[in-house]
Amino acid sequence: MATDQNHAHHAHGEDGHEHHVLPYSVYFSVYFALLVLTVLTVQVSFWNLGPLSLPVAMLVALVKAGLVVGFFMHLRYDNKFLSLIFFGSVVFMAIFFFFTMFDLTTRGVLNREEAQFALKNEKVRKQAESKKVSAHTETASALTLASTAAKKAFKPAVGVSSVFVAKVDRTFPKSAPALSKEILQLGHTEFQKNCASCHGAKGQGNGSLAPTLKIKPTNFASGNYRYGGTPKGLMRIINNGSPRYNMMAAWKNLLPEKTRWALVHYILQMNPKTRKQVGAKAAPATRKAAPAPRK
Amino acid sequence: MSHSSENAHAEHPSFLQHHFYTPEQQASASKLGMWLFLGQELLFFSGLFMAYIAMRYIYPETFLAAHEHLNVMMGSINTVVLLTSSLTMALGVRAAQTSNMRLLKFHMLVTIGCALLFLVIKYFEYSHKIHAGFLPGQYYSGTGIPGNPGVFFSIYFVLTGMHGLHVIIGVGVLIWIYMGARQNKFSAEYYSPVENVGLYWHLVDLIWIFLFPLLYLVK
Repeated sequence: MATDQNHAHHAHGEDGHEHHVLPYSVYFSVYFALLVLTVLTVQVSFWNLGPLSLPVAMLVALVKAGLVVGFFMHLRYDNKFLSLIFFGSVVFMAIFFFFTMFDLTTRGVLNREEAQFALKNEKVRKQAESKKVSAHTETASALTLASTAAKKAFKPAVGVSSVFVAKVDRTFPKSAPALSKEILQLGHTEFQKNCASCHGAKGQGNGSLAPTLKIKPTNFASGNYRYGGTPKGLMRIINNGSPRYNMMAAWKNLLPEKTRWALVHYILQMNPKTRKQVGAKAAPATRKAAPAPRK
Repeated sequence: MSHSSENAHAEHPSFLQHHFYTPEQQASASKLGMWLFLGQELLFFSGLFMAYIAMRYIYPETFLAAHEHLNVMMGSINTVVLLTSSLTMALGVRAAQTSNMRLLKFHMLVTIGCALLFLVIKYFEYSHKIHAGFLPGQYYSGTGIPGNPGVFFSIYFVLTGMHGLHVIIGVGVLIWIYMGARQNKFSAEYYSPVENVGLYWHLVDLIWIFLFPLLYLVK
């Protein structure tokens, strides 16, 4: 109890104790500054600064954080090695934020470049195999579509959000044709014509063009859909493609609606998991239609 | 070296662990450990903040609309409550530095009171969200928010929930310090536990300083 403010100011007292007792005035002025800054940041949020509001709010938060760390946590007066640990963590946080945002904001650009690269490859390949005219012509047109659509880069209708959704809704809207043998046959024909070059004849994501794509085509046979694989979701991707993330083309204006729904039905029949969930009644018809490639 | 070990033998205070030569060495070692832990805490929360940033980038309109459903008044009050608790915590450490156990006990009680008040206000906020159906992911059943409100509330509940968990743990360690103060365990020579709990408590405040504008004041 004898010890008091005597060995306060200045760290290394005679007895070697390193603590540094700050006067009350420091604590109370820091507290007052923190309160003022809190009022300020709330007030500023009502001024509608537009794009400036986030940086201003973060600047105020940083000043507040500096006050807490510097005075309440004594970092200003403490061993510099502790500052190194703290600011070292902050530097790694900055690296983490910077590169993740860099990735997130530039994906569209990279995919556009990739689309052009794949197109060029495709031209070379076509010249080499010009005699074997077949499904590839359609693929080339699909690729052109993908790259033109990519230039328009829009917001994805189906987002990363679906990652948070555990249960998947496999119901079809009423406007869609019901599952039948005929629909599956249509889906099969169109799939082989338009989709198989990338997604593979059995939907395993191993079509002849798959090796040229950096982001691999979805493997429908696995039944693992990144965004859940709902009928409506699949339809959305067939309609719009996903120019922002990969080379899937938009088919909305190229195939009639019935055909597009037929493709959704066909794709969902490609693996046991979704086949069971969609329509158990139509199962006998589907088992024949789904896995068998024509010929 | 012989000098310092002789010293240690001569005094040998009860709080000095046998593997340390001097109380100063013990104090600086424990503080170093605490700061390493705090650095880890920063990195842990940075993952959650990164999720916030990425989702806000993908769904700006959702975040803008969803924040309207958070109560700025309650958020502001909670900010002031936490700042006040930070002050009393810092004053508590000061009381320990000056061997004033009575003042330390007083400040610990105020700090614990603020922490509990924070949790009570948070409870009211949470129950309002739950009743309105503003729940995470697939459980979202509210109305009026465009885009992907489930994502916003996933992030809201995980961020504030993890912070709330830290507050609850904080109440536990603050009570531990209070009990120690009652037994006169701390003094100007030995107050590392008080100091380290203080550092932890200030970090909890620090995280809220960023959470508050990001969640409640989006514009």
